[in-house]
Amino acid sequence: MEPSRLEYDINDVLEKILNKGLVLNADLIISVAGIPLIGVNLRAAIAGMETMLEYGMMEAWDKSTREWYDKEFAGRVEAPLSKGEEVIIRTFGSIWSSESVINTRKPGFLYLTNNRLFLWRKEPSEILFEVSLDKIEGLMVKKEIHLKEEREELYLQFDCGEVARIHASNVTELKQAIKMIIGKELEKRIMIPSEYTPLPEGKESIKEEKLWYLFPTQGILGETWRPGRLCLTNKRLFWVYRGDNQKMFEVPLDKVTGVNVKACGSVPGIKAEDKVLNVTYERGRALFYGKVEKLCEMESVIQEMFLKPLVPSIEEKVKLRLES
Amino acid sequence: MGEGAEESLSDVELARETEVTQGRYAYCIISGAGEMSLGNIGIEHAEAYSISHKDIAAVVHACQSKPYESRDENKVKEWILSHNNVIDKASERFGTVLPFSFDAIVKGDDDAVKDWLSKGYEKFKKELERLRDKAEYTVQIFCDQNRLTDKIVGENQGLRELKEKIEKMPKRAAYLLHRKFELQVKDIYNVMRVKLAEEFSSKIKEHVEEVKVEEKISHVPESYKDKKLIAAFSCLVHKEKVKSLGEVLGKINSQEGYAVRFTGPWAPFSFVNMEEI
Repeated sequence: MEPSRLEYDINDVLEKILNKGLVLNADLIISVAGIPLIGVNLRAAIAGMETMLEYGMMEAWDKSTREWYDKEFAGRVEAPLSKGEEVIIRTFGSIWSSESVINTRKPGFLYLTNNRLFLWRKEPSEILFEVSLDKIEGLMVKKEIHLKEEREELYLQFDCGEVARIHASNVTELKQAIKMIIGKELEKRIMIPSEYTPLPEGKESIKEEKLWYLFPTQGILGETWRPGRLCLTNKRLFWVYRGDNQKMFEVPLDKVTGVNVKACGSVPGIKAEDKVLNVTYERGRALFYGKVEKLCEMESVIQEMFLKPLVPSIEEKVKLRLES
Repeated sequence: MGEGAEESLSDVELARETEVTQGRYAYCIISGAGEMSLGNIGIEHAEAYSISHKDIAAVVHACQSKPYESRDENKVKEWILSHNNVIDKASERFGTVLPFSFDAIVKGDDDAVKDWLSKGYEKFKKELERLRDKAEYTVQIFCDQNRLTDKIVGENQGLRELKEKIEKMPKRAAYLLHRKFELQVKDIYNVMRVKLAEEFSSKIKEHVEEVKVEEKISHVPESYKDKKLIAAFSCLVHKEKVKSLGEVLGKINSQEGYAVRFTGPWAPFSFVNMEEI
């Protein structure tokens, strides 16, 4: 057979020119922080430094850096596993961590075993996130913007109501694997708590009032009243903090068990006889404070919602069918 | 008017001054004396030209003293194709060259390049002599994935039993076992691959000067997607021996279930001395 020059494509060329060929001596070449800038272009867009070193993407010229890396992390290559625990997927991944205004992504190795899912950082060695698989109640893949580009991320909902956002090399594969192992029906639509999407005018929103919300104890802070807006839609009741426009409280309407205006009793900041709007739901209660008229109006609108069926009527279903 | 003339004079001076702070983007080192232009075939249509020292020369273009960087993948690809094109054109004219990796930029002007050539002259000369009349060829050997799996499972009783067990189980319950099965097949495949790679490389060896087993192949062309890459080699081949290498590969290619991809000639990217120069 004859060698072909026509058959080779751009990828062959990339492989040769980015990974091979002569490189210049350090004092001749332009470098940033000791890292020569050869072929960084393509790779920088693809992965972070740790990934590149891990998978040997920066071969040849980064030998010394990699030696350092290998030496540094030698003997700590595997995450701690319990007896009988089997690794099903091990991949590079990260978890989105959002604490009020600070949003960060913590990278590490994501392990899916026969009984847990955890994110492990090698150095310093730490489990950044861990959950037992039987605590997972919902799974959803959603496109998010990362470095100006869209990519898929996996949202997990746990039985305590918390939601985690994870990225992995292959999100779809990870989702399938988790589903297969858990083996029960999982919620496919997850309410993402920290994400406030302004409602289209008059579309879903039924009532909105400026009200104070008694924010639960957090760290050393006791219960505090915070200003914001309480919004009611035909599906949910939520409150948005004025400070950063984040949803701090949210409950689907079918989980609301009662609503009334009453004297607040012993609550910091206001007098015991002051009136508050008391919303009880499956996991607790929420108190809102404002002018009594506003509170009463909100109360009656929410109560009215209970009388309406939450599932679409037959007519609506037929209409939806026709539309689709 | 006089003032204008003065201004344009200082422009020239300014240009000269900035030229000193400029860099030279290096494509390759060639055999042959003399300085000449290869035309505007460089990156972004820059003029590629040679700077010589004794009987060797570097092919470069004048650029800013900063690396080519872009987040636009297509732009980078275009640059890389241009880079390769200059190397191809230089190889056609001057024989085997020493190719540079992407974004190798020498700090300074033509004199800096001359200085650098003279310092490394012995090394470059030796390397050019060693690679004279030789070129790099890429050999990738693929095998039909299903045939390979069948072969592995067929030869292993434990896997055969596991497979039968999985087939009888409900889908969900079988998932973990299936995963285990796949991992085991993969392990055996890896051992087998090493063996096959050794077998093939020994067949290839007598027709090449040097052979390198490529461990990391990130890219498999579309037309081979349904097949599994079992071995990849970069071979340094003397021009007289390309035909006989082709014959050996032809034989492997005609074996049932196998397919060989044979590309080249390339500049000796995998065989130039990788020590920094």
